[in-house]
Amino acid sequence: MKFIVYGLNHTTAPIEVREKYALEQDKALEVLRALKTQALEGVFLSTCNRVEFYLATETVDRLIEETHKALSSIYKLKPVDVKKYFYCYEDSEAFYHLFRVASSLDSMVLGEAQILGQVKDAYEGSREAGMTGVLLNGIFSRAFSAAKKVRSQTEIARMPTNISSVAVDLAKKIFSSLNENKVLILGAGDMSELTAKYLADSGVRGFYVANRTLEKAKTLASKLNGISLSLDEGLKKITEVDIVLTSVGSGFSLRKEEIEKFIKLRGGRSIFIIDMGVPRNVDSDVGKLESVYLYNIDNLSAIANENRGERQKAVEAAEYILREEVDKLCNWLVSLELVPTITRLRDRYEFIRDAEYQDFLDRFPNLPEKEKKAIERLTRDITLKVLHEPTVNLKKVESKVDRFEFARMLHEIFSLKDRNDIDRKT
Amino acid sequence: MINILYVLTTFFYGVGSWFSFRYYKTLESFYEKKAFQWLLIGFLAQTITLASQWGATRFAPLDRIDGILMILSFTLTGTLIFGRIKASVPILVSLFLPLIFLLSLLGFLENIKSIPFMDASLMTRGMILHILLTFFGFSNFTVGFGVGVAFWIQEGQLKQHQIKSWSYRLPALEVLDNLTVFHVGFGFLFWAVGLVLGTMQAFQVWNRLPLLDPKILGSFLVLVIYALFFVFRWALGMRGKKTMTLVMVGYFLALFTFLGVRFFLTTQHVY
Repeated sequence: MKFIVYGLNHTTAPIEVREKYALEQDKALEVLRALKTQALEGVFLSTCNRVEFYLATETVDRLIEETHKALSSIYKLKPVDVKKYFYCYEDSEAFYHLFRVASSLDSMVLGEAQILGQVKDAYEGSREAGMTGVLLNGIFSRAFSAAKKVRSQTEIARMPTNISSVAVDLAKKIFSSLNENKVLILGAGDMSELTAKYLADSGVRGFYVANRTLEKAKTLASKLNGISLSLDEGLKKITEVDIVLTSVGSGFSLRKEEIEKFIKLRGGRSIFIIDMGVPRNVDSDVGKLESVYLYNIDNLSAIANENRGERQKAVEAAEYILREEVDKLCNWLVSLELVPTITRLRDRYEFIRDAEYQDFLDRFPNLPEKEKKAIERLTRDITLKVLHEPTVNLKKVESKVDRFEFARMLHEIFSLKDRNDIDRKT
Repeated sequence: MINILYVLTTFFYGVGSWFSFRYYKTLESFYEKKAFQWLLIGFLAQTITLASQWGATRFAPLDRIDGILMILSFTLTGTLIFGRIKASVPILVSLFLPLIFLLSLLGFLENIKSIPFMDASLMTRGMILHILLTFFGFSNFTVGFGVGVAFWIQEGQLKQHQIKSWSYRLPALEVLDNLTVFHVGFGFLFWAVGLVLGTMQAFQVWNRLPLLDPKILGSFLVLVIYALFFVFRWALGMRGKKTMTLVMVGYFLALFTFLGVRFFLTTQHVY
């Protein structure tokens, strides 16, 4: 049985092609059901950057033909139109590809968090519809744990890469949980609004919005459940807020002396000033004041760029982890083949027989050699006879899926280990 | 029996340290929980060790450096457990558990064992309590200092807009600040009560308090520096690096008073 990935993504197909294949889950299941004759198990993943089938099959070429037929019948497309955009990976290459996708190494934005959830949803959808079995369950569960390992053991997803989330992240480095913090927004521009939304998503509940035009302040304040103020009233709030977000147009500038008088009234509490204005709204000397952390748009961009670089650096480490995980998966799959399973079952019984026999000899050391050999032959014959019928019956199982399932059960029931492990134990 | 318990204690701290390193590398809470569990197990074993020693000899192991290291690791562990439960900052255990392990391990070195510390005849209950309290004070100052260093680094990076990837492992400035106050506060309390008891001992032994003795003078200066920390913070509203500087200075003076005076100056103080 082969495991294949068949699909297209942002590197192989333009958006005009990708959007044609963006399928809802119920339609995706329809396609998978149409492939049921060729694909023993299947998962369909559709995101804005990729459309992929993960399939277990014994007939790869026929399955690909069937897939195109099924897709064409849904989209009313000629198969020849789209084939050039598709790729197909088999077995270890396919595992590696799935692991890369789940770990967001194959994403357009390296390290983005959504893809793992999307892969999980796709898998869950197929599993609930009864489209997955022993093979895909095992492969996907390993893909999820590999992705978790990559995310926790490398820097791939640790640091934000867009300006607004960098600002939120810095706020968290100063205040930890943002639930208790208040934010003053000076200037209701688009950039302020976006960053304020990120802050709201991170738990901030208290917003003051101050703007030259009060109407604009009211509009943004209503979106954030905040309070609208005039620009002058807003400045006075610096004494009580923790984060100040400024994006006021030209002609507005906060000098050190102006801010210092408010800062002195804060009792040493930290304040984070995010200056999104171009030209800058806050004098750079303000950042030198005690407990004031001032960041302008260039500072935030520089951190975002650096973080992107850090993520790129982490790719090698992440790929190393994934290669190790793929090797483990391949070993697991080999171990589930029926012949090695039978061999291991025999080894297991032989190990028990031999241990018991040796124990017996220790208890009766004076037993004549002839009787020792007879007892050894007797125990060996019993073991062989016990195993004969199950072995014959196992070999009779025709369906590969059933053989796979039997093998897996035998491994679990008898805790079967590699022959080398048994040798090491003995 | 006591030796076996001592080895076990060190082993438990060693296992905890391994989980600490794993946590620091992966930031997976599983490892932090395991590290904390091993810290608790180690603390339990160490408590049994000390109780057994006390039960067997009615004698606290303060006459040699290895015993002192054991008591120090014990008070540091107690401080850490208290801080971890109260402040719930996961990285705290990972930062200090390896130090505790190291202190326990140092006690096994033969040349450390041979250093005498205090005459057994001086070990009254009042003296033991004085030592324990100052050790708890010192342990709290140690944790406060460590957290203060983390604050210093984090603050410096934030001010200079140079955020290093590893600094994402450190807690937020506000958390570090609160934690420093928490540990320095408790350290101050223990240290102050310890000094009062020490003064009483001094009057019993010498009928006076030799205030100009470097060890005694240093101990009181430590108290003054930490008192200034609270005055600057609460009365003058000062925060950040300036107050953290006082934490650093206070700790280095405490460290010098604790270890340095014995090796570099002469003192009437018995240890």
